[in-house]
Amino acid sequence: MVFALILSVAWSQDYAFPTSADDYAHYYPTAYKDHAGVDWNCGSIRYAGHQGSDFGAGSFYGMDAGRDVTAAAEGTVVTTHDGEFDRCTTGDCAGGYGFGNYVKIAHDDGRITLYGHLKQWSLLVGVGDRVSCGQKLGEMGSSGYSTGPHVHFEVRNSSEVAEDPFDGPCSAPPTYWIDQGPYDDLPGNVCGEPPVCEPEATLGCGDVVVGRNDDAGSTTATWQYGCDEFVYTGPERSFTVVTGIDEPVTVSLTGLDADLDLMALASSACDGSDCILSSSNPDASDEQLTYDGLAGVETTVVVDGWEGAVSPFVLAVDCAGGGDDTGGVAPTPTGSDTGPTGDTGLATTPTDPTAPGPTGDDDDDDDTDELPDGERPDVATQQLAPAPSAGCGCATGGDAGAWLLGLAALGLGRRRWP
Amino acid sequence: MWWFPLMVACGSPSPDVVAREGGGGAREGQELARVEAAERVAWVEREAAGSALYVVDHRGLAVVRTRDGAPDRVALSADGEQLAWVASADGLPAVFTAPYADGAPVQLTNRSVRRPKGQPPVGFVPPPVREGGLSFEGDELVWEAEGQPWRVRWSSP
Repeated sequence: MVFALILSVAWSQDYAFPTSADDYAHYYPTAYKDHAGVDWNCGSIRYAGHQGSDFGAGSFYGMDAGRDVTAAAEGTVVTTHDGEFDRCTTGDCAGGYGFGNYVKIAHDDGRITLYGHLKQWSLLVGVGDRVSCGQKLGEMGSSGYSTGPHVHFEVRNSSEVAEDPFDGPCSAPPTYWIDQGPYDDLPGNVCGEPPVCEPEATLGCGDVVVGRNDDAGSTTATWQYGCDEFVYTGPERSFTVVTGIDEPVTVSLTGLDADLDLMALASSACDGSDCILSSSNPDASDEQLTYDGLAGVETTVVVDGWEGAVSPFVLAVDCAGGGDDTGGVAPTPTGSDTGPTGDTGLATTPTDPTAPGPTGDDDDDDDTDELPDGERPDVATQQLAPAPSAGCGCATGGDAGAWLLGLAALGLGRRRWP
Repeated sequence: MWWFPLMVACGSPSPDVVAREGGGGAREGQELARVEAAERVAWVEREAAGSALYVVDHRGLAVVRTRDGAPDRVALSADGEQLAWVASADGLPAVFTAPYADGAPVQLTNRSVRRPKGQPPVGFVPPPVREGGLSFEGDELVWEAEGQPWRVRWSSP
């Protein structure tokens, strides 16, 4: 059973939003799949019995201008139906089981996608055609059971049972999108592999990074990390953490003035498949997670903004076992370092490992390092430096590497699911 | 006699739908069309991977006429002896007819339409837009589409 699950995940094809790059900006979601009264995000953008996801693109003006509908993934066309009236506004025009003019594609992983309510005579494919992701199938219309121009995108399993491609608190994972995007907005329409986190530095025990999640080096490539049902939007920053021995590793995120969250991933795949654990406290609360680090095994730690939140942060890696610090590689400097109150983020060298400093004190004798209350590490220099390598520093805190990045916080509110 | 409650088309906007474009397809088990004549009832029901045209007479015997081509828009002649419906033929909607009792369906429209992809086909006869738009008048089937009436003889002369 586990093998079958792994196999199905391995063979699954993810989807790009089904329109061309030129028309992508015109589209917007109008109704998601109905989950007994709510949509995938437990919201109300749905209607009773709706089995697919509807996306509009400027009503009849947009339809007349021509809004592309493209294949969400590679596959083979198994059904087409064209020739039905395409300016329906009453929701009761006949044809194609209510989908009006439509195309159905069977994908290699066994799933099926359906593109409904298309414009009459816009279909460019026929049964048996092999289509690639992004290939134009036709144009948005208002045929069939439609109240206005839109595309009805529906995913079905091999038994023709509709599934929701979106993953959220009211829809079981995984997502079928390459990049799901935020709620009430569009999934990404770029075909290809799911985004990966891009770790910008390797951290070891005792290392500290001070910066902002929208500093240079941040990405917005990821949206979901698999540990929980929350949907993250970025901007995020990713780091690789390695320990020298098998030992518990505690990663803490403090100094926040907006809602950032913390995730530990077993790989740099940010598609939700490799999450170890996460910390997602509301608002500007501190985040902390502890996992069992294995000697020499890389873990990706991600600092993510909740629904676009950006904030300064202090990220600290502490190891309970007192093992060797394998050392980290300082983030690459990308601009001037103006210190804790500066305007651009920048990596700096570690602090002097022999000097008592603000980055390595074990205030509470718990064998972990803390920053002094109310303080942030000093900015060192703008130069890249090798990572600290002497000892974990868990007890003394003396070798903690402090990288300071510039700040200024823009706090955004947070919404948590009930 | 069986009696089936009419179902609301699932694409119709429900009260909690914001005024945005929407609409889907029929759900499995949903009745797509229904017509009665001479104590016979014909209806089309959505199935898992298609739809099927059923007919039932006063004996209560349901007969599946066709599952081919997603039948809908069904009509019965006044005497209940002749059926007509719209189904997809080679990806185009076409009008079919068949006797109730027996006989293979006959495609009445769009049999040899030339269809360049992405362009209106030459000689295409549009189907009725809505359920109930197709009806028998003597030996002809009549409907309106694209703003004009269409008449097709269904019986052999």
